Amino acid sequence: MSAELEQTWAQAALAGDQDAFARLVEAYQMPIYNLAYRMLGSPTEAEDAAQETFIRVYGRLGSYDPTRKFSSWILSIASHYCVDRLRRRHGNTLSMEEIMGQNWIPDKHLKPEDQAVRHEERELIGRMLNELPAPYRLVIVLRYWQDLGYDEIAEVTNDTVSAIKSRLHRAREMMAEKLKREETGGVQKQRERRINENALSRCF
Amino acid sequence: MPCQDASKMMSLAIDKRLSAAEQLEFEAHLAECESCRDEWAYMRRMNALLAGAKRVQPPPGFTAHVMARIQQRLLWRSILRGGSLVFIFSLLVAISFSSVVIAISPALDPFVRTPLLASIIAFFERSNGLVLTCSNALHAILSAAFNSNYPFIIVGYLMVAVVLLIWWTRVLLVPRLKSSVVNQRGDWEGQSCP
Repeated sequence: MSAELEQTWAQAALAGDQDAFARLVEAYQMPIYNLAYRMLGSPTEAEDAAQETFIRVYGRLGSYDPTRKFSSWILSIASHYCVDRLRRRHGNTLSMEEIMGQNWIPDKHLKPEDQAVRHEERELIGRMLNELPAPYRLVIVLRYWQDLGYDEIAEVTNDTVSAIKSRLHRAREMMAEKLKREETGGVQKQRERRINENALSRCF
Repeated sequence: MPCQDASKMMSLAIDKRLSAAEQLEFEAHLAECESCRDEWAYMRRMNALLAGAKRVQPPPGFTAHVMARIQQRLLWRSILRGGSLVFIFSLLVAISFSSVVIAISPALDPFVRTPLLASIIAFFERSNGLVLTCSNALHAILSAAFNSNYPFIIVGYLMVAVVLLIWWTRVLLVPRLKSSVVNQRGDWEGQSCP
């Protein structure tokens, strides 16, 4: 979408044209909803947060600086809101139910066994994201689901590029550590199960 | 190169932001250090997992929901600001309207009923009777609630009055205010981005 078109819509919406604002919502619903979904982890919370983001955007159209990229501006409003919401949430973690419910939409093009693999991957991603404190989770979400470069992430979060670099590095380290723990733990669990099964088979 | 430096390079290496010289140094360290190789393998697996994660679709009717919520906020704002005059006027009308119901209640004290009925009649004779009717109606409601011989009947009639008030607000006042807020179209369902 061209930047001039966005600017025209934003100006029209500010002048009271709600159809123009509806077009902006239509154009940005995908990135904003995905940001909220990966930050908060539950589809219902993500929907509410994404809607609230657009309501805030509508209220702040007057303070939008046209020299700034519109997409950065709208993403920064969404980011702040999601980080606040995560912090307000008790203990800053997702409940098990929320992680399990990571929008399990079956992909019709995949075979059932591939779907099961996808489902497991999705849960694993949810648990890995869950390891990260809000600001770290934000840089990961902006990097992977919004495909932003370091300088663009810095513009959204209002930090320096070097701060983003180190935060991204730390976040990736934490996630890789989690992945390692999951896998070595998983192997151990399998071994325990096999020992138990052997013990049972000897009893009967 | 110490392991700590190699570890710090990993995130940049994933994003392909190492210079050619740095890249060579990094690879040389990995070739000789097993623990860093192990860490790098997990980093790459983690990266592949996230890079392969699909984007999800927002629920259907998302835009329409957003626009409806914005409408609601605007409505409340207009009630609190510009609509306050309309709101006070309709509140006065609603109280005097419900006072008609109270006035015909048989349980009402005749000393309260008489001025109320008189003011209702006066309302239809003179235009400034509205305020007079309201003050008499409020007096009637208060006295009915506190010193009536038949409080239950009064409560019943008051509930009829409340229902009328709600009806007035929902059926007459809100659509009137809404029509002043919505410009032309109020339905965004099914609109798509060009």
